[in-house]
Amino acid sequence: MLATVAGPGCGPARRRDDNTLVVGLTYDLDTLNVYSTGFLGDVEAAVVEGLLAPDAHARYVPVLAITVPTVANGGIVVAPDGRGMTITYKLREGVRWHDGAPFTAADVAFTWRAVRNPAFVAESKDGAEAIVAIDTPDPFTVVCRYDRITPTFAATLFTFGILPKHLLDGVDLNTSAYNERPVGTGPFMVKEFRRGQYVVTERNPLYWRRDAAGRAFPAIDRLIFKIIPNSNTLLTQLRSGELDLVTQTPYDQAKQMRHVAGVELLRSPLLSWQHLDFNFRNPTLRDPVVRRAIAHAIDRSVLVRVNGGFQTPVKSVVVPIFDFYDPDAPEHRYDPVEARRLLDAAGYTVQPDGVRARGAARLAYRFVCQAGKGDDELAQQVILAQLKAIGIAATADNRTGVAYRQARYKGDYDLNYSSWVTGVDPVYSRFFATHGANNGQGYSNPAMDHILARMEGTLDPGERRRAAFEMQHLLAIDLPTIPLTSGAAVVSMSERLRGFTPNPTNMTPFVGCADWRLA
Amino acid sequence: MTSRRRTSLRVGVGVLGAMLAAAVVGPLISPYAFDEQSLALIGLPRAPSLAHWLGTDELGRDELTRLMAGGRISLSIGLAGAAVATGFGTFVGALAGYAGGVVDWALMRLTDVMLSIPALPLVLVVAGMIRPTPALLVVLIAGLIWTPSARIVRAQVRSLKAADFVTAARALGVGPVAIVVRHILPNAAGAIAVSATIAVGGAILLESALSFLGFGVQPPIPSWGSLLNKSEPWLVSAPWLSVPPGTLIFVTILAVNLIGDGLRRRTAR
Amino acid sequence: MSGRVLLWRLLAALPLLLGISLVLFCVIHLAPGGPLDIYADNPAVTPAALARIAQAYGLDRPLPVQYGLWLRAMLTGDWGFSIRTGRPVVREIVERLGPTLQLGTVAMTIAFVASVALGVLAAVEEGRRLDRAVSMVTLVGLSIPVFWLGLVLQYLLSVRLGWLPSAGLESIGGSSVGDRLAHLVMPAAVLAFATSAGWTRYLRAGMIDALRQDYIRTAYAKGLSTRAVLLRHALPNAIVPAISIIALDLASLISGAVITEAVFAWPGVGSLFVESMDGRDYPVLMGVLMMGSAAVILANIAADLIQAALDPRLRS
Repeated sequence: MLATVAGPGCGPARRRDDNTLVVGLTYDLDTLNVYSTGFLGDVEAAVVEGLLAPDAHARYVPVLAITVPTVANGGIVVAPDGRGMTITYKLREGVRWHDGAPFTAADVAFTWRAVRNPAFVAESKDGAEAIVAIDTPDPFTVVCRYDRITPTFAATLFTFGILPKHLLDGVDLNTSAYNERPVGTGPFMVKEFRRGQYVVTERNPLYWRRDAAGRAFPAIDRLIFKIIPNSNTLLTQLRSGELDLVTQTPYDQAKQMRHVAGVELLRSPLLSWQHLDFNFRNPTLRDPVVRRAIAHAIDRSVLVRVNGGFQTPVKSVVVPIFDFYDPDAPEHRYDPVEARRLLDAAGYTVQPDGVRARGAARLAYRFVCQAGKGDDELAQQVILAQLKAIGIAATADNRTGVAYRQARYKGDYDLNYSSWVTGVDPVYSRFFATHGANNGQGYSNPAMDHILARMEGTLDPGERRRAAFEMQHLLAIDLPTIPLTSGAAVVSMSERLRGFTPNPTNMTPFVGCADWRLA
Repeated sequence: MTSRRRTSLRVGVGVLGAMLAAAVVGPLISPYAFDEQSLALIGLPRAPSLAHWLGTDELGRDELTRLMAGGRISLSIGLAGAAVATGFGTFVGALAGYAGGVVDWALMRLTDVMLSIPALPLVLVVAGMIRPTPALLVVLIAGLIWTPSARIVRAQVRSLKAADFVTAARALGVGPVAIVVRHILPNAAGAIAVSATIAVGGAILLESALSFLGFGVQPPIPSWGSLLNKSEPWLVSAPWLSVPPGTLIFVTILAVNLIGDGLRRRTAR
Repeated sequence: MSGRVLLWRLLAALPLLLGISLVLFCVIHLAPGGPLDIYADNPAVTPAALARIAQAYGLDRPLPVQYGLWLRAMLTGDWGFSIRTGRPVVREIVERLGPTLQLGTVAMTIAFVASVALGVLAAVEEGRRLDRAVSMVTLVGLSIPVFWLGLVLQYLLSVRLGWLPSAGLESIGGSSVGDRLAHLVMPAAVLAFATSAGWTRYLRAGMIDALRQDYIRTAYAKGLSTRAVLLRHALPNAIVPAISIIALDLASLISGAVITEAVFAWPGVGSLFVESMDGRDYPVLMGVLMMGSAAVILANIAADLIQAALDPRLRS
């Protein structure tokens, strides 16, 4: 027996000596097709590979392609009229699908066609629509012609994953068995998918990557994903040794996991930020003085502390890990005295009931966040108390899941606390452009629209960075939202697991699972 | 035996009264406000101490104060909701059971429909259309839990309808309402008391579920049900968060049960 | 109830079900949010893509048309297609029905046996120590939320003692009868405890009432043994009202024990319902709810039948 016992009285021996890693998922899987799932593809990332993938530093690295195409290396050529572009991928040779068939340029072209097919119901076809044609001059070269400049090309289509042409050509992808047993080129192969229970994947013996000593990856024989919807049960299973890895441990659970024998906690920064949004439909919130006062009223250090110290305070919506982050963007420091002074000066005086008002305009707001997200609800209550301290009354009006989202996007609130998780190349116009799809706050500034259009319409990194800086400056002045903290995923893992690299992007850490080992 | 009946009635009323008094007066005399966060304690729940007799929660709020304040919501909504539900259920059940025929059929199909509509989507719909007031909350809770009382009272009434003493009363020319109220219901009091007891617990726990769905009280206002729900992640590491609200719900149900026992023995034939 | 009456009630259930389906359809479509909202947080999904998905699932059609389409799918066999997974609703539900029935049957059998035994004992010992003990235990059962009991048991039996697996239907890979039983013990115990608390109290109250009736005194006077009086004369009468509650609890089981299933990661209908509710997967929700409604109606018919059989006065 190779079992490492978690100390006497701490539950059953960590049972496995068969080189199996058991992962806990908090959601029930819908489909294993990367293009139609509504979730982050944890399982998919271990099974299916794309041409590129984001690494631990949120930078793209080649996977099934040999290099990341750039203007500098000739992989990207802008059309002479400046309206379109051509991207050329050189593919890795000798890669085989799980069933042994060779991976070629035809698979890449097929993926584009399949995703673009109107009959296929997929949540994201973005990248597919910008491409007008794909040529495959030889089996390992793919030339994609785009009808527009798409600086964020790497965040879409071919990064999610490539579909096998030899298995899916002519098949209805909506109902195909592929959705339950996807075939990819990745380090693990799906062996069994029991709905509501688990997915068993096994080591792919044909996997193309080798370590420095020439040994084939992956080093783990079986990777099992168990579906455990209740987060307390998840914690119980980690404690009892029935689980080895949870990549997103809820903070309230993580706070209690610090001293559990046999379990290691790893803080993994995320490309996410928590924020307080203002609804511009509310007349007093349209007053910049009120927004500035609120910004000065919030002590971020308490927000961090209440959620276990895993998050970090931020002052910009651009997370500091990106080079677009502007360290000199103006900032509203915690200063309740200044907040009160601002409100007094603007004529919002404290009334007998302790709430400020100017004439009939009372500073009392309806504050929403997602019910059931314990971390958010705690932060919300801290903010409620901090607003009360400067004479602003906010009352919680929390909703569950879908009902909350509807309130958020339709602007059915005064204040909203929530967070965004993004990919490597966030499209900020989504949030702050007048017609941004996720702009539920009614924020609109033509200058901002202009900056965002510049930022998202060029391939020149210098120009994009300048626009990003301008955006951050303008956000600090307009203050439609107060960036509060940047998130971190808390990874709970068995101390036997080696080689785990956190991944801050929405591609999940499972993109790196080929390198994992069990001690 | 009568003295014990009186005792159980007294104890029940006394316990309930004491809890009501604590809920009303407690928050007023507590040195802490129910939503007052202690910056020094924020982060993790702290165990009971001299300053905080029942400890504090993750936000450094005094648990005892929150429990007493929570009693205002839970006791009023729990007792009122259960009373309305049991009263309405008893009325429907007695009517269906005694009248029989078409009335019985229609009322029982109505309960079938009520039982078939799941609470979750229904509450979401209602919450999207109206802002709840406490009275509305009581009505909604009662609306969700009256059906078991109706069915059990109907079954009881149907079976008692043919009992000798009812036949005798009818032969003496007693009217149907008087028969039901004076002769049948007192004999069904056992079942009615049990459903009232169950309804109190159900209403208290349901209140927190409704608040969670956006219909009802919202944080930071506490209720026993929501205190219990929020304690879920801390069951093992901070039991002082979950045991007291659970115990209070238990004691409330116990008190209602004692009152039910006392009243039943007094009214039974 | 005669055969003709039974047939009539079964037939009458059909329009009732149709009416219920209409109400349910309206309620779940009126609830805020829709199936496409799961995509709303995803910055890569464009409004055009959403419109396309809506069209693919017929969500852009008027509600009456959607209802008609759903009704046709319901009657022709596949009950429609899940929006989350793209699979036929019937397949989704049937897959989850096995674990739900397994858990439900075991838990309800335990609950029934325990509550009859405890209810009778408590009634016989009314006011004495045993009765008070049973009372306390059942009141605890009424005031403890299921999640609380489940999590405490998991902590004690799985984490501290390591006796039982904490959650799941079976071990991954191989499962024996013993393995499945080991997984079943805790969820079944929790569900049985929560359910039997109410049943026991109803049965106890029913027994106490029954024991006070004249015919019991007559039975004793005839020299029947206590056992015979209790089981053959008092119990059937005590059970009559309780049956209506027990039948309802059994019926609600088919839609899954939502919280128990979540705490024990039990892949039953309840888990499916929660997932489908979160994602507003209308066809699956309708499928589960209609199954539940049918169960409620059947259970009520069955309860009336059993009550009539047990209570001669109701046979008229």
